[in-house]
Parts: sequence; C-alpha cells; structure tokens
Amino acid sequence: MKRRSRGKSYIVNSMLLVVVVIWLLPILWILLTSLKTRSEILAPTPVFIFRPSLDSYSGVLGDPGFWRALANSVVYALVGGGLGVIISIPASYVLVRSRIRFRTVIAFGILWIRMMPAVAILLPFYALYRGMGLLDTHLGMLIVHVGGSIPIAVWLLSGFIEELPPEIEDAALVDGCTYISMMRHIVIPLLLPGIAATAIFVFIFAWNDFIFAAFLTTGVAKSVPAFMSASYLSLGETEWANIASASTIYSAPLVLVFMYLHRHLVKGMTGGAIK
Amino acid sequence: MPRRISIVFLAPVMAVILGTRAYPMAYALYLSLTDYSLLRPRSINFVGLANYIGLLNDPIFLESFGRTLGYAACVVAVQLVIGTTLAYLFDQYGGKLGALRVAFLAPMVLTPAVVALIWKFMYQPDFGVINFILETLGMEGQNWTSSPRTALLSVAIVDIWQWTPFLFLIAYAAFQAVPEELIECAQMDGASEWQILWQIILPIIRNIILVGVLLRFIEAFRLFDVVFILTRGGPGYSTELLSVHAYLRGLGSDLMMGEGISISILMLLVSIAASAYLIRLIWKREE
Repeated sequence: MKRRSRGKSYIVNSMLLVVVVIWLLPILWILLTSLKTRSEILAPTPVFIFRPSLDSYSGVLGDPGFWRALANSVVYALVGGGLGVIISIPASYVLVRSRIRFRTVIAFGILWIRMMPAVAILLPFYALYRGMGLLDTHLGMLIVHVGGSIPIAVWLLSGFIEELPPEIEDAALVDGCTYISMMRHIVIPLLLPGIAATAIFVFIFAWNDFIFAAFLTTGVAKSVPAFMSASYLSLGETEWANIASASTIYSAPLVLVFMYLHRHLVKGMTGGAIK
Repeated sequence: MPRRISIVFLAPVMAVILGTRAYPMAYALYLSLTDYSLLRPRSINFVGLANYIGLLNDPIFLESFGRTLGYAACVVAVQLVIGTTLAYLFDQYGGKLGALRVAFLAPMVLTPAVVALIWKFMYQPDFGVINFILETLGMEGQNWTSSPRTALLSVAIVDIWQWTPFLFLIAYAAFQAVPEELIECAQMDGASEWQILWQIILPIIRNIILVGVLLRFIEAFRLFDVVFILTRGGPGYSTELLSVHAYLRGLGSDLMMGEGISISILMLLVSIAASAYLIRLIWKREE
C-alpha cells in the first residue's frame, strides 16, 4: 500500500527508525556493560567511553557452576524439547487427519493446557517431586520440559500438517504402504521444515524457562536463569558484572537464531493468532 | 485412518499429558481441599472448601486479584496502542524498512528472567542508566523497584518493552492481509486516511487483534518471572501479582501449600474463561 506523499513517508520513516533504535537500547546497554570492568560498571555516572575488557566474561566462564548450569540448559532444551517434538509428530498427524472421536476436544484441551499459569503447575509438581525424590534432579527437569513442550509442539505441528496435500498420503496407502512407513517415507520428509521450525521454537521455550528451574532445583540441576538469580542476585552484593556477561552469553544463541531464522519463527511467535 | 493406529500415534503424547498435567492438576485439586503445609508435610487434614472460603474473605488475596486484573488490562492496553500504531505506520510507510521491522521483534525471543535482570540493573537508583538519563534531562531520579509508588510501574515497563512487539507482529500481519482493492475503492470515493483506517481496516482485522490481545492478557495475568526478579512482590504488597502471591503463600515464605494451590486454582478459572473465549474466536475464524 504505497500511496503516500514522499515527504510524509520520509518523516514517518525517520520516526520509526528512532523508535526502534531507542527500543533496542537496553540490549546494546547490557552488551556494553558486559565489556566494562567492575569499577566502571558501578561508577555513579554511567561510563559511555571505555576500553573494552573481558574481565566479566572470564569471571563467569571461570566458574564451573556456570558451565554446569549452561550444560543443563542445553540438555533441557535439546533433550526435553526434542523428545516432546518427536512424540508430538504422530499425535499431531492423528489430530489433523483422522476422524477419531474427541479429536477437537483433545486439540483444544491441549491448547487450553498451554494457557495454564505456570505457578498452578509448579506447586503440585513441587509437592509430588518432594515425595518422589525428584527435586534437583535432571530427570525431574526433563519431565517438566517434555510436558511443557508438547502443547506448543502439537499446536504448531498441526498447522504445518494441515498444509500438506493429503493426496500423496492416500496414494501411498493405496499402494500398500503401512501407516508407519507412510509416516517415515512421506509425511516426515515433507514436514521437515515444519518440524525444524517447531523444534527451534520449543528449544527457545525450554531455554527461557525460569520458574521451574528456580524452584524445583537447588543446585546441580539448575539452568542458567535460575543459577543467575540464585548466585548473582543474592542478598549481599549483587554481581552486576557477572549478570551482564552471563546475560549476553545466554542471549547470544537466541539472538543469532532469531537473526537467521526469523522467517520460520514468525508463525510460532504469533502464538497461533495468524495461520 | 484405522482407530487402532490413531490410538497408537496419540498414546505417547496422551501419556505425557496425563502424567505431567492431568495428574498434577488432580493432585492440586485434592491438596487445595487440605491444610497441607511444608512445615508439617506428614499431617495432611481434609478441610473441605476452607481454603477457598478463607481466600474469598482475605483482603490481601482480593487486593492481589484486583491488582492483577488491573495490571494485565493496563499493560495489554498500552501494548495494543503502541503495537498497532507502529504496525500501521510500518505497513503504510515503512515498505523499505523490513530489517528494522524484524529487529523490533528481537525482545520477544529473549529469556524473560534475563530481561528482568537487565532492567533491574538499569533501574538501579544510584548508578543505573535510567536515572542518569532522567537527571540529564532535568527530571528527578526514582527508586524504581524499591518504592511502592513506582515498583509496579517498573514491572509494567519491562513487560511492555518485551511484549509490545508481539501485538505489533500480529497487527502488522493483519494489516498486510487487508485487500488492497478495498482501500483503493474507498480512496476513489474520497475517504480520508483516518476514515479508511477506522471504518474499513480496523473492522476487518478486529478479530485477529482480539486473539492477540487475549493471548497477551492470559500471559500478563500469569506473569511471574519479571516480578520475582525485580521485586519479589514487594515493597510491601505493591507488586504481589497473583502468581507471586500463590508462590509466596505455598512455597516462598508461608509454606502453606494448600492455600497457595487454592490461589493457583482460582487463577486457573480466570485463564479457563479467557481461553474458552479465545478458542471460540479461533474456531470462528476457521469456519
């Protein structure tokens, strides 16, 4: 809809540029902060010009606790999220293609589960895990993440499966394919881009969890956000240098994935509002 | 598709949902009818609806409930106005600003807890950059997260910063989907830009935007991470939104699990109502 006078469009464009740049300043600020020394960070007047230093990074990366938390975050996202996506593929296929009874009930039940407040899941999980000895275990956290990824994975995958032409699947079945081999040789290869987009989205979701890691773990099983909140934000002195560099490290994969794959993420990011 | 195969394909997901959602929810319902406390986990007494009745007579809970509804409504309203306005301007004038438009979405993918930490740093009254900017502009610095006057506002600003791009994204996609011919017709009939926006474009995209608003409302209503990192519900009760309130009662300070869970179940009722409305909207669109 380009039907505007050039002058007006020029003004509006400059305004949009200013708004977006200001909007993104916090990200730039934490990046800059992560390159300062401790005393520059705590200077009463914020320092804008300084010699970049990697002190805060060496502080964080020299701490085995941070590495353990980072490894945990990676495992929860890849293994927990990955398992969730894998078992969601056949389920989503059934929800889209079969005429089984209760199909829509299940589909909307899953959507509704996604809307539940996390705290309503956290409290019973805490009580259950306490009894089962699953507090602060990797297994316990993986269970949480598989469960959390399913509603998102089913919702997104269903959308992608709806876009596949059913004729190819029918032809394969007529030719004597079993359902399992039809899934393996036809549906999954065609669905691969959708599966990848879903997986990335689910990984981000698991990566971004705070509430479960913060309260279902106490030490060895902590993810990075929970670790940062517990170790750097203690009641004594807040470790702003560590927070700045750990935030940058933890956000870097998100920003990179977003920069290169945003086209495939938009569908998930709208939360199903746009088909 | 044969029934047997459908069931086999669905089984793993259904098993996980039963184990990680249905069963914990049933257990939560049961605990909400007891006086279960982490201080004496071995003695659980059935108390019927006492927790719920207690909550409905508890001014702190009722205040938190009202605060949460008000907070969610205000935050989403601001996000809607900024997001839709920017989306409209990008759609109408920003044809060549594709990269800028995408960059604006970046806050959405960041970890909310990390975003809260970043803002907590910027909010610091003595060396934070926000007060520095305010003072440079001749305004007064604030004790952002530690004053009851500004604490909830501090939470809201972070929420608005991170999630305005969400409504922007939805509104932009909706604007893009409006058929060009409709607008050209209206222009030929002499309609002003303002008239076209309000009488043609907005009625068409209303339902999509409404879906986005509901999704945002549900999320703002259950907000936890940002509040917990910025203020832990304080100072006083000033930022105790329901999720934090439920956490503090059940696990954080009071250790009264039965009560905390009852709060989270009452929250669930609100999110069921909002989701039911949301599902009806999506359903309507699909027909």
